[in-house]
Amino acid sequence: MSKRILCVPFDPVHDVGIKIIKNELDKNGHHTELLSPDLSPEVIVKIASKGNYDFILVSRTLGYGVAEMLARFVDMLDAAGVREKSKIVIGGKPITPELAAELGFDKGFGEHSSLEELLAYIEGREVKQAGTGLHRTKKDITSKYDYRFKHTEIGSLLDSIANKLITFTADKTSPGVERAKIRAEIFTTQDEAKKKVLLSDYYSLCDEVIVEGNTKKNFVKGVREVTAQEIINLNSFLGRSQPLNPYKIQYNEKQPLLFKFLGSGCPIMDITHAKVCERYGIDGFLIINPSWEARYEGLLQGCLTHENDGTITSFENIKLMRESLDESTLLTVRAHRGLNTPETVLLAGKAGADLAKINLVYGSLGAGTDPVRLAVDGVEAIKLAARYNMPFDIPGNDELSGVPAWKTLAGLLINVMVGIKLGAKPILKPLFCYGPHIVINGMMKQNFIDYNAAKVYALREIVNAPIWPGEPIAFMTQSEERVQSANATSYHASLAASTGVDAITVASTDEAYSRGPICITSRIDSIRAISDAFRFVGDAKFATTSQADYFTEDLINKITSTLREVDSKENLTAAIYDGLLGNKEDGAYPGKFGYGTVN
Amino acid sequence: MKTIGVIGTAKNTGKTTTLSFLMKGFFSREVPVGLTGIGYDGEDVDNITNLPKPRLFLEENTFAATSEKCLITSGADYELIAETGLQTALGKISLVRITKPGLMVIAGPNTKEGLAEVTDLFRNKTSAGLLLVDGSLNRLSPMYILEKLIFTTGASRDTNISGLAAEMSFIEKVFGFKLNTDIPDGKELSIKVKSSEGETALDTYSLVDEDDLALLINQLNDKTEKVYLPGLFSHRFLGKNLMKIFERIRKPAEFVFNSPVQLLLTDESANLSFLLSQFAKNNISISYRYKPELSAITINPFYPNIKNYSYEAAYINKDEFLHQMTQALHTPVFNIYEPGADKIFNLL
Repeated sequence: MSKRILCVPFDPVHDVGIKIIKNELDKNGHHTELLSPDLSPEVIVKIASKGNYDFILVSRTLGYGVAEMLARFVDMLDAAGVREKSKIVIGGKPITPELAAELGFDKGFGEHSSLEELLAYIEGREVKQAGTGLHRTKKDITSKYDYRFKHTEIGSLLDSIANKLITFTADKTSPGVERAKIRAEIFTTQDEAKKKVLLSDYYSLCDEVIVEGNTKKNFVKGVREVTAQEIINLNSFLGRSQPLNPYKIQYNEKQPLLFKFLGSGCPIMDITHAKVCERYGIDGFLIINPSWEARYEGLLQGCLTHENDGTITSFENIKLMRESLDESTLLTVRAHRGLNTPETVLLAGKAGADLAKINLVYGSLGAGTDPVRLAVDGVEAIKLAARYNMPFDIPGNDELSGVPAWKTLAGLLINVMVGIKLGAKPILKPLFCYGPHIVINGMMKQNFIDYNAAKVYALREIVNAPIWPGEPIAFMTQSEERVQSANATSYHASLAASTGVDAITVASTDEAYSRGPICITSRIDSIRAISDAFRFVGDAKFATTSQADYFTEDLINKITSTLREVDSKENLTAAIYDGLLGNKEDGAYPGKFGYGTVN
Repeated sequence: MKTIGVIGTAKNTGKTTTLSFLMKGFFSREVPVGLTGIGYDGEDVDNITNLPKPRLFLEENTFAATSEKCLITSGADYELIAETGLQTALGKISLVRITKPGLMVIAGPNTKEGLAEVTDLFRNKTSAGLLLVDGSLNRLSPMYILEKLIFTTGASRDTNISGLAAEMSFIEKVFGFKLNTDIPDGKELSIKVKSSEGETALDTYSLVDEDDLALLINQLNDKTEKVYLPGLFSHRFLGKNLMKIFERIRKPAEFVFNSPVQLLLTDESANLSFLLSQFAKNNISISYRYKPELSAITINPFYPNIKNYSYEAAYINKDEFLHQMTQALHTPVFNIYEPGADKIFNLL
C-alpha cells in the first residue's frame, strides 16, 4: 500500500542521500514530499503536523552539538502530536540503530543500510535477511585451466628439466620425507603400542629441541601451549561473531580473490583477525610459520602460541584455524622452505587446508634450504599436495633478493611442470613489486604498470595456468603512512584486476612497519581500499604502453634462454648451485640447511 | 508506584551516574525498583564522543522495560513478565524481572504514549515501589507525564559555572507556575480560547507562523479568559507577536501550556526569558495542564573537551560548582560523589 512520506533534509548542505531515497520511494509507488534544506525546525514540525504523513524521514550528518539538536527536534515533533500519526526516521552516514534509539527516533538507517531495508520498513514487511554467515561457496582457483603449454620450446625444455629432477629424486630420501611417512602412518594407525613405536622413530629423525618440546613441553623461547580458557574464549567469540551483512570485495565475478597473511605467532589472534577480515570479504589466508621452524628437523605438536613473528604450523594449529574459518574461506600453508616441507603439506592436507605453498627454487635460493634436500623434499611435498587434492601456490619471492624477474619466472615454470607431472595443480605467483633488480635497472622508471603487467602477459603466452600475484602485491612501494600504503596496495590490486588474474595476496597497511603484531584496523584499511579500487576499475582496464609489449617479449626470450641453460645441466640442483636461477651478484645463494642429509 | 524521571540538560551531564546511584540506594533500602528510559543508555562507549561511559548495573528483582536487542546482549539474567507492542529502533520492548544481577542497556519507549503504556505495565504487572525513567541526551518531551523530575546539569552543557546556575535557576522558575486542571484531558492538541461566552477550538495545533497567529488573534477579545496552547509554538515567533495578542485581550488573563517541559523546548532560553517577562508585565498568568515536581538537581563537573579534533575527559572546579548552584537555587542540589548525597532519597 502506498505511503505518504515527508523527506526532510535537516542539513544546510548534505541533501544528496535524501534525494536518492525520495527517488527510490517514488519509483516504488509511494507519495513523497521533499522539503528545502533551509527550513527552521518549527516550520518543519508544522508541515509535519498539518500533513497526514505515515513517515517523516530526516536526513542529517553528525557534528558537534547535532545530537542535542536532533533530540530537541524529536521532542518538538512529540509536543506537536506528530508522533501519534507518523513514524520518525533518521538517516545519515554515521547513524546506527543505537544512536537512532538514543536520539528518540523510531528507526535509523546508516552507511551499512540498504535501500531495500528502508523500503521494507516503510512497507511494513520483513527485510529479506540472508541470515548469518558469508553465503558464498569455496572457489577453486585452478578449475578453468588445462595447463597446456602454448610456448612449445619452453614446454619442451620444462618437460626435460622436470623429468631429470623427478628421476634424480626417485631413489633418494631424507629425514623430512621419512618423517612425513611416519606421521602419515601415525594418523592412520589405531594401535597405541604401534603409535608409540612410530613416535619414537619420528623423534629419532628430529632435532633435540623439537624432541624436548614435544616430550617434555620444554619449548623454545616464546612458545607455550594455548590454554583451555583461551580456547573457550575463542569459541565464545566465534559463536558471537557470525557476520550479518558481510562486505563483498569484488565488484564483478572476474576480479581476483583476495588473500592475506596470518602469522602473528598466536593462532587465537590470527583467527580473531581472520574472522574480522572474513566479515570484510577476504577470500583466503596464508599461514606464515616462524623462520626457526624451517631450520629444525621435525615439527612441534599441539596447539601452540609463539610470542614472535610466525605461527607454528602444527597439525593442531592448522586444524584450529581451518575449523574456525568459514567453510568458503581458503587456507594455504607455507611449506616451500626448510626441512619440514613434506610433513607440513601432509599436516595441511590432514587438517583440511585448501592449498600449500611450495617452491623448490625459491626455497633453496632465497630461503636457506640446501637445493638437493629441497629437491627431494619438494617432490615428495608436491606428491602429497596432489594426494590431498590441494593445489599448490608457487611464490616468486626470490625476486625480492635481487633475482631478475625472468629467472624467478623460469623457477616458477619449473615448479609448474614438476607439479603437472606429479598430478598436482600448480598456481603461478609472480611478484607485483618494485623489486631490487627493477629499481637498479629502471624497468619501472616510466610507471609501475608495464613491467608488472608484462610478467602476467608473458606467463599467459607460455602456459594456460592460474596466476596469483603476490606476495604481497605492492611490495617495496608502501611506506609507514597507512593511507599511502592502502593507496599503493589498491593501485596494484586494480592492475591485477585489470589483467584478469585469479587471486592476489595483500598486506596490511602496517605490515612492514608494525614493529610487532600488525593491527586489525590496518588489515581493514587495505581491504577497504581495494574494495573501492575494484569498484572504481570495474570491468575497465589499465592501458599499458608499448613498453609492456617489449617487456613481455623480452621476458619470454630471457625465460627461454634461462631454461635452455638450466636444461643443459645434469639436473635442477646443479643449475641452482651454478647460479642459473639466481646468483651471488643477484643476491641469491644456495641454502645450507639440510646439506648432506639426503640418502 | 511513584514515577521519577532523570533529565539531562545535555549529554554527559550525569544521567546514568545519577540513575545508578538511585538504583543502588533504593536497592539497599529494599525498595523494588522499576527502570526504563526514553532513549538508549548503559553502553560502555559513548555513541557520539567515543569516551567510556558509566554502565547500568541491575540488581536482582529490579524490573526493567527495554528493547529486544538490549536483552540479547544483557549481562544480567532475567525472566520475561510481559511483551509490549511498542517498537523502538532496537526492536520490541519487553518488561522483565532481573533474576541474576548484571549489566543491561536500557532502550525504552521514545514517545509519551509509549511511556504512559509502559508505566501502566509496571503498575499492573510488577511490585515495583517506584519507576525510574532515564532521559536521553537533552530530551524532555515524554517526561511530563511523570510525578517527579531530577535534572542533571554540568560542564558538558557549559563550562561557565555562573551560566549553568543561571540556566537552572530559570528552569526552576519555569517549574514554579501553577497547575490548572479545568481544561479536560484528551488527545486533542488544538489551541483553545475560553471566554465568558464559551470555548472555541482553533483549526491549528501550532503557533509558529502568521497563519496560526491570524487564527488565534481572530478569536481573542476583551472577554478572553484563558488561552490553551498545548502543542508546538515558536518561542521566537510568539515573543515577536505578543503585543498583538495582548492588544486584543487588554486585561488579566491566563495562558495554559501543556507542561513546563513544553516551555523548555527551545535552544534559546533568552527567547523564553523574554516571553515570561512580557507575560508578567501584561498581567497574563501562566499555568500548566500537567506539572511534574522538580525534586532535585544533580551536578557533574566532567565535560568532553574537544582537542585535536577528538574528545578527551576534562573537569571544572567541583566545589565552586556545587557552591554556586546551591546559592542560586531553592531546589536541593547534589554532587552524588560528595558527602550528603544520600539526602536525595528523602525527597523522592
